[in-house]
Amino acid sequence: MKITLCSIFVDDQQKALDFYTGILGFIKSQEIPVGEFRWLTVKSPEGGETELSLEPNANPAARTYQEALFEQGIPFTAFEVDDIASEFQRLKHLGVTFTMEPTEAGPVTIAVFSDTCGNLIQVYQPQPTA
Amino acid sequence: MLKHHNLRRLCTARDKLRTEDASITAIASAIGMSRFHFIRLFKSVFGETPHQYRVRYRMEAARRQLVESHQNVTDICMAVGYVSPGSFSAHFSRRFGVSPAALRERATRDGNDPTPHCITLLNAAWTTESQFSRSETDPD
Repeated sequence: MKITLCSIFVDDQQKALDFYTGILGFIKSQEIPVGEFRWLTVKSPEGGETELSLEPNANPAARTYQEALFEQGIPFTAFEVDDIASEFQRLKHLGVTFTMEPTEAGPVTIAVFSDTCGNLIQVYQPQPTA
Repeated sequence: MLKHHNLRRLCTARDKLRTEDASITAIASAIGMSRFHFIRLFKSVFGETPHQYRVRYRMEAARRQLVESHQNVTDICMAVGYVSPGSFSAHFSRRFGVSPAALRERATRDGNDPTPHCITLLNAAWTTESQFSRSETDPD
């Protein structure tokens, strides 16, 4: 059994695709029309099988959960980066709004930003091992 | 850096945009921000201006009602805050690529799931793909 799919709720699939590809740098992987929505996934240009589904939050339960996390300042998910200081500067330059600048947190350095689609996202860089 | 108390103020404003007809200026004032600062910060966090957000929210509420209820289009138009059915229809068509009536007809015909979820979308996508593949291989 493998984990090759995860998902994130978004308030608008096109807005999400624009942000996750144009700003974060993911690559669109699958796009299949399904009625009013799309089966829409992105994947990392750095390789790996795992895809991220940009899932509409049209289900009231999904929206309630997503908005509660957001209002409480809790990131929906986290992505690993190789150089968080550079990524922080790059994303800030592109207009991304952070709620936490790079901060050491034990074995990682973390930062948190808004993905413009109703979520806070955490990025983290593992500390180099001795 | 966006402080947590400002994030919560933006969430309060977002709720007001959904439930109130107050002006953008009034909503900004209600959360203790200038109109300019509110619009700029809202757009940076939510990816659209407060006005754009309100229009999109109303359009999606209308879409749900068209799919899930038998209310007529004019009543739905009024329910989501439009006074002009013509203006509502134009905004709706621009947003979804079809008129309100056409969307309802399509939903009725296709039986679309009004509450999409990752796995239901995935399963529907697989069904679509397999039907396409089958039609390519079927004779005639």
